[in-house]
Amino acid sequence: MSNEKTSAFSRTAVLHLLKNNGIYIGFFLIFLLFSFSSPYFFDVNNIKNIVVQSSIIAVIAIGLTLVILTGGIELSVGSVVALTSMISAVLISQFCLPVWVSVLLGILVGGLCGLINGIIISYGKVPAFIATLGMMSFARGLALFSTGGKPIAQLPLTYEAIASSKVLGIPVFIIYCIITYSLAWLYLKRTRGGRYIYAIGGNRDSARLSGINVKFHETMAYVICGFTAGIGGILLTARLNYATPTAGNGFEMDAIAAAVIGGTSLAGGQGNILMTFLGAILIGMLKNGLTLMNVSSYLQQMIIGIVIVLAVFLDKQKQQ
Amino acid sequence: MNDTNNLLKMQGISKEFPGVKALQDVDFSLSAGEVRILIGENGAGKSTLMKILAGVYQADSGTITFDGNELELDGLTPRKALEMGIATIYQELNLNNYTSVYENIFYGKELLRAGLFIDIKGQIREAKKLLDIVGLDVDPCTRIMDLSIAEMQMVEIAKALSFNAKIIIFDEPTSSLSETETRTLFSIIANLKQQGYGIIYISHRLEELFEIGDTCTVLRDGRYIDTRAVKDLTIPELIKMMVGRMVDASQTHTRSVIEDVVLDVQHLSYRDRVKDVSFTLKKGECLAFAGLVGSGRTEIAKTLIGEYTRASGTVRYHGKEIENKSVAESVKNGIVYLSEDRKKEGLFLKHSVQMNIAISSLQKLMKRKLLDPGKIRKTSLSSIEQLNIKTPNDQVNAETLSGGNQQKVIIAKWLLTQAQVYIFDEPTRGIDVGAKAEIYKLMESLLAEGASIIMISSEMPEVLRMADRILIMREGCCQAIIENDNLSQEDVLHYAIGANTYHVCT
Amino acid sequence: MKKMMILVGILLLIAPLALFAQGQKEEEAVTIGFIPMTMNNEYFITMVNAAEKEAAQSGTKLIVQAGDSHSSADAQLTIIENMIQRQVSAICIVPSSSSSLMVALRKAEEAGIPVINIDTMIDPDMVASSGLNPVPFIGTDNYDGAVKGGKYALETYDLAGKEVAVLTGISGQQNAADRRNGFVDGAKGIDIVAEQTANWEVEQGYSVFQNILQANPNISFVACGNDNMALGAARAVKEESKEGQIHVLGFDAISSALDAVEEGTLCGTVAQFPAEMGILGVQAALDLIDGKSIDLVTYTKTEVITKDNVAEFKDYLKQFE
Repeated sequence: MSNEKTSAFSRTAVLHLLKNNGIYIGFFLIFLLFSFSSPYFFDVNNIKNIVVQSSIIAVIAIGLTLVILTGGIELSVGSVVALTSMISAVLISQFCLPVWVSVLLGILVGGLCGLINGIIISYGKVPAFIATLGMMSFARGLALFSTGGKPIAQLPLTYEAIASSKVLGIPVFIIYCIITYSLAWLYLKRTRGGRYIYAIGGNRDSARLSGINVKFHETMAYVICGFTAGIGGILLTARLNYATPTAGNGFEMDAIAAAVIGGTSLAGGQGNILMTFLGAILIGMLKNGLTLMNVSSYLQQMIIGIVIVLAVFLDKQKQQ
Repeated sequence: MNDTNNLLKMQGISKEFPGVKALQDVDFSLSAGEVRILIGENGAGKSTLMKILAGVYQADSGTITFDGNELELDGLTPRKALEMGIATIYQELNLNNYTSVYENIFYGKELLRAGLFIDIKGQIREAKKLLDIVGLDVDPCTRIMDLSIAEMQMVEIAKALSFNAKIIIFDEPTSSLSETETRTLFSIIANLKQQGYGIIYISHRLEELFEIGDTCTVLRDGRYIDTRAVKDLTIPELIKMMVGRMVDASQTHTRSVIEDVVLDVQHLSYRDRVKDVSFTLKKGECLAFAGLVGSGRTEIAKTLIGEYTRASGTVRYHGKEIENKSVAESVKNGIVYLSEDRKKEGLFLKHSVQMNIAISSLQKLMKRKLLDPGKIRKTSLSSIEQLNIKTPNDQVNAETLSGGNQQKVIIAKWLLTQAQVYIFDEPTRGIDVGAKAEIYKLMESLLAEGASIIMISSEMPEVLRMADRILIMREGCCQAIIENDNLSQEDVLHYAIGANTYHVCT
Repeated sequence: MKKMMILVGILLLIAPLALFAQGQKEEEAVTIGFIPMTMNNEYFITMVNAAEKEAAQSGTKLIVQAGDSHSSADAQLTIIENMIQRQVSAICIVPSSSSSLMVALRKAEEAGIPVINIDTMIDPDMVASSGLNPVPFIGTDNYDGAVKGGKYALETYDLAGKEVAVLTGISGQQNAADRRNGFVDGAKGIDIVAEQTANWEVEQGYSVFQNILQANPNISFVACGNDNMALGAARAVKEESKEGQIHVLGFDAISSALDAVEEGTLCGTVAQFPAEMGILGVQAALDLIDGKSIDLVTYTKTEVITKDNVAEFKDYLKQFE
């Protein structure tokens, strides 16, 4: 009798563990799978590769996580990536501005796009889906318009250095991730604005009636999202040393996927920014590992689709 | 009890949730044509017991015999229970606001023609019959959103009857009804009883039980206490069974109000819901807003705090005119509002108790421009202790707390902001008897410390107990402001329904 | 946070385990990475099939990876990085754009992996000014092919002075420009009334040409930068019931375009020989691996396919299905 009880207990304990740590276990299993099936996967260099390859999406996903935490959505990040990329490149190649000025102005344009989104959504009461869908088309159009659709290549080496530098042998992209995620974590955990973002997503009416300036703080989330998309655009341009108005296509979906795999609830109010990083790395790891295993790119897309849904499914199990 | 006539017999029902024994060995039976009141404090297990009967939860052990057949405990689903004839009218209505009455009644069991097309005419005809039984005189094609809450409830009852229900469970049906609407509901229940339906009625309001109940079952802490005929019961006895001790619920107020005027509101208007309302609020005073549901009381409150934009009027606060253009501004000024709908307009249910307490005073909980987690934790824990909030710790989600403790969390939140004027909207709605007294004590200590309270309430005993003065609203107008001095419930009711002539004393 | 630490701990623990797996790294066969622009286009599929066939004959392992859209420079860079990690011996690539891959080329050069450029030419000036070694190219002389198409159209349909529309590929891509210029130069004397990009896609060819037709009802010929856009345009022609009045010329000779030429919905298509590119690409890669030198530019042939020679051409293609 007592034996039965303990075994039942341990079974529920295991289930509990599985439910509550789905993403870690999934991450771990995938890592293990790749390590054994491809001799090239488990290698310091390759792990650096994975982080570098995922880091642009990871940075963009910061802003998206914030927006999703407020209960909103942001579809224009991919287009904003292209826009900031083009703006910075045009400022360098046609207006001969110094690289750092162009890069900062590019990021600022990203923030401006976010500000416009935020104002339209919070103060204009246009649903986030619609407002950012509009921005998605507008920013892409503006990016194409800026050079008549032509890409700009061969940017100054100082621009490329933004991506290719290393600090103490660590690729600088990894350091950007550490910095941006630390700042985002600090913002969400240790500032009023961050706590308010959770509150707004948790219950908008309660937030307003608790004396929170909902419109302002919601707009802030979109502004930050614009900035991270802008940074993403700069990083992408630097990595390729090439700016193209068609860049960033579909990034919004990867960034949303990263946030969602990391357990951020699309209903708002629930989520952990550090888990978003894990989500972004998981997607990057899948793409990398599957390529190393020479899995067809068709199949890769299917697998990533399954993983997204599975991650949310496991997360829902946890909540029950 | 007449055992042979049993429509329902539940025996030895136990149910355990992780960490909580919700029900332990509870018996319950019901005859046809009987109105049974199920009573007990929040967390006593009333809802769990009824949800087991309705198939929402599965009991861990015990038997249920319904209409002579023993039910399979594992296989019972809400749908099956409904089809067998056990219908529940929940507190939150399950109607689709944008569709018509008849469509709502027939959702999921549409009458079909040729097995494919919805027989609209037939549905309207059948709906009309059902509405007649419950005594609701509206066109079945009316959209739900155009009905009053009471009418919606009647539609729910009609929907239950459409399943050929034998037992109808009412879960706190009157919590959102006005006095007159409550009357109508009671006559419907009396009517259903005569037609031989078995009625189970869950309530907090002791007065109701004596009006409509035949018998009364008391649960406490998941255990069955007793079942008694209502006519043999007294209120003190009942309360003792519920809380396991004697509670004095009829304490009258003895307070000294300081004559300083804190809030001076003149000619306040908002759309057509609030018309030219003027009043003052003194330091340490409790001003009650009485009146029927929909008379504009909540609207005054929301206009005062800037949630609604006022059309006209001035508000002076400590002699200085204030705008209160947004709730944020109002909170800064120290005028705060505690909504009647705590879940929707007060709490962050999925967030921790700590966050719920601290959210409005984060600026005071910082160290060098960053939030100080240690300070936040210390502050919230001391609030929990100070207000005697029953929670395992400050990290559990607010949704796990009982209604009374949730209300305390919201009070704690505003205490931390050092607000001066508290507007309580139905402060004890959905809160059980024991916790009610604690909320009243908290309000009294607020007053004693020099804060002022505006209390919107539909419960007359509450108004008479707490208020220094009573502002009576009717159809958006201030009908009267009267001193609470030897008033009776009838006195106040007279003003509220407009029987007395208009006069104001400020 | 604590969970993160546990995760990192576990990863460190399994590190030695995974190192066992590394022992299998030595592979006998030579491995070549092959990166078409996309895999959602039978032009590239033909190329890949031919390359695989060629690789199989010489016992070479071919790894094929593609980004999921035409213009994804980022995805191509990632694939190249991963192939470098995979230690392939050479990489054949159809770049997403003539200027997007400088960083990738440098990484390959640093890793000592030769790159063969197929189909879309990487701008040689840019390669030179980036301080990189020249990249051998194997592909169509798009300009020359388009001149052939233009001459054929001018002569067959007597286009001098008539209204003609041009649908071009993605702006900024060299082959899009070459095909456009070649056609215009080959068909001297035509009146170009509309010129729009349809980004190589069927749907866009359809909708863009619908719009052009609205504005210019008297068009008698439309030259398209590829067959996809031509098939889209042909659908628009059919919907307007202007078959026979408006002739559509494609480029690439994909199989559905060949069917359309047989039916007469397309008047012709300029055939490239992607299969040859794939074969020559693999051969060039093997030569480079063996230390042989190869030509810097190798043009594969072009040919205008019309109703007269379509059957013959289809027979040739069968071997690469």
